[in-house]
Amino acid sequence: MSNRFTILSIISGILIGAILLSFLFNTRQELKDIQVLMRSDRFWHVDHLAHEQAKLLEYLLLYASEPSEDKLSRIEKALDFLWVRVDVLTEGYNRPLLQDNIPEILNYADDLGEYLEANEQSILEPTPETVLQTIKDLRSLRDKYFEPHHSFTQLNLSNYRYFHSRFIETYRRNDLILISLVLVVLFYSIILYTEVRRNAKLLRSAREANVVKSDFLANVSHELRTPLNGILGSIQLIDRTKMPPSELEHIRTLEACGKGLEAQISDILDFNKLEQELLFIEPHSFLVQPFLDECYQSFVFSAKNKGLEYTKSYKNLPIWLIGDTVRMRQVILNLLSNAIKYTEVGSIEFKVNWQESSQNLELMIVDTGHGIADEDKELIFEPFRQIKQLSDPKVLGSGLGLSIVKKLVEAMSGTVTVNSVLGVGSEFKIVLPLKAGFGPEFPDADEEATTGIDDTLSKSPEAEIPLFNDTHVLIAEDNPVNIRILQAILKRFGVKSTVVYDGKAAISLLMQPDHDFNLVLMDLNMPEMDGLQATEIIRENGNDIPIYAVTAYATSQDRTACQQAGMNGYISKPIKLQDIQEILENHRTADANS
Amino acid sequence: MSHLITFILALSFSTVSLAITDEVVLTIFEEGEPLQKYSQKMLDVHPESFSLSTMTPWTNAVDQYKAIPLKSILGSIINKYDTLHLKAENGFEVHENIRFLLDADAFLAFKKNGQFMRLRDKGPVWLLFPYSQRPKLDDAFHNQVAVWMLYEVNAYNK
Repeated sequence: MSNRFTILSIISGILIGAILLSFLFNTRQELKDIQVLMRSDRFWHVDHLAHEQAKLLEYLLLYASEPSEDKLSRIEKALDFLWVRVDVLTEGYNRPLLQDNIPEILNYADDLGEYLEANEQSILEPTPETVLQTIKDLRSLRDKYFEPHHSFTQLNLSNYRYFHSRFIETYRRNDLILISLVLVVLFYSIILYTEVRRNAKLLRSAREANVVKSDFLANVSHELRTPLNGILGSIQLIDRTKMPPSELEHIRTLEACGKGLEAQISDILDFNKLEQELLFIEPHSFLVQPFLDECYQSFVFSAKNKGLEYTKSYKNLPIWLIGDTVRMRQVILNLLSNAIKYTEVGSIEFKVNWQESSQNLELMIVDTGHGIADEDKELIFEPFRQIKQLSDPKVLGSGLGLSIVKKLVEAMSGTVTVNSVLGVGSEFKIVLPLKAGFGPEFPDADEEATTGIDDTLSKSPEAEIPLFNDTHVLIAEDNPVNIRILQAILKRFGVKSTVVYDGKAAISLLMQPDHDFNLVLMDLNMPEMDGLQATEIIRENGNDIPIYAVTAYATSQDRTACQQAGMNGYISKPIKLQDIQEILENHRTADANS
Repeated sequence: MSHLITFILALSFSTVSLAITDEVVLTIFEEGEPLQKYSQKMLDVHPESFSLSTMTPWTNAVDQYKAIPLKSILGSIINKYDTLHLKAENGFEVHENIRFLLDADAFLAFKKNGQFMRLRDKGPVWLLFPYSQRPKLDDAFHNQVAVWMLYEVNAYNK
């Protein structure tokens, strides 16, 4: 229906345009014709020819009755005026016009000119005989003039009528053109308005659908995290110390797959947040080289396993910079991971350069992998796209990695570019505008924490577990899987735990004066009363027990909300042994200090 | 004797010629008050006089005219007034906007092909336009104000 309407409106537009153009062309032609006819002043001169001739006759008659010098002078002037009229009718552009329309007038003017030329002497120096002859001759000529002049007057009248009708016709046509133009404008305004409304409706629907899609993706990802939490949590709890190497390998594979799945889910959630502009950049001062080393180190093992030459080079690096290390790490790891994934032989270089003049950190990841075809260079940054060369079944991902990289880099006001030759390799370049950071010139080893390097992460699950026998933790959580994992992890650390299923129950336990809880792990989403509300009430009652949020995916708003409610920190699901260990160690240190 | 007759004839011709060239042929008025009078001689020696060859709608061939730009003849009064009242010997009169005439580079021709223009040549002064140089000027609006036998120009505000 819409297409038909569009075609119809285009055809009608072309037709109206053609009609208008033809009208305009005709009007221009008419005006041109009229202009040519109007340009000539022949009517004026024909009329004045008779007038000048009458004047000459009058002065000759006066002279004949009583000659005088004054009358002779008048005759002379009248003759000059008559000559001018004869000339302008018989020369220039009037001649052909008279020839075409009324040649009798032209003949008359020619005859008069010939007569004046032949008899000029006798007119200017008249004797009583010659003046009478001249009067007679001029009268005779004038009589000849009457007939053609009558025809000329008729022609003049018909010309006037013609012009009049042409003018009226032109005005009417112009009115018609104007009305048509108004109608056309009105018609297209209606079409435009309808289209704009239709497009606005479509845009609204598309946005609504996108929100629904995003919500769906977020919900699915969230729901996937709970069982994944169970899987990864359970893997952590398996006692690996007495496990035979073959079974240990299976467990490691299981753990790697779980972590891979977790990374995919994180990508989807990140992408959703970036799309909805819910992801915020949180810059802070960080130690540059340790941070870059940590990113680099993450793939040393993978590169070695594939037999790739894996190198790094830094140039002009300052000690401190200000930037969001979480997001920068995400970008660098994503690109390094891709380079490892898509390079079978050769090398991978991680090159970093600080441009002091422009305050830009340039990061380059150069590989000798598959390479990307020119036509695919733009596509690789589009979400859910996987180009042909990269669609290796062994390395399939969500197709979101590079689009997240691009969006994150842009969120940090940076740029990402790719140079690649198919079959030769690729070079990804990221330029991030960063400000100079602050801190000691030669930082202590302790300050490595600011690099974001979590040394507990490097700890092997097979490492020895410390015990916290004197600690009692209150778990406020409604999900049975999470409860089971939390309890099991705490049990591994020798920690006693008590479980409540909502915020209200947690408050009532903590309100009891003789409770022996040292720590609270609080889920944010619970029935009856959520974790934030419960924490606020606990703090309002003067209870300063350490409370940590346990959340599926901590956004910066969630973290701010936790902080504002009075929480001491948070841990993200899937719950890791190391996260719990860190909280318990912090708590023990704080107790020892107090 | 014959020499004497020749001398007398020559003297009489030169007297006639002087009488023609010294007679006032054009008067410029400012709001009806005479401002400047020109004889053919004065026009001929005017420092801004120039020669131009052009056709006109009323002549058969391209003729050479000696003329003075209307702008130069009017001088500073062009800035004070907006209209000119032009009068011709044959009784023709027309009122025209000064800017319209100046924009069309109107000039006052007084010699045609080296000869002072007589009444029958549409002289002694003919307001003309450079038709050959600017053919678009050949229209009813300009042709109507190409006043021949011009003898009086009065500048005033409409």
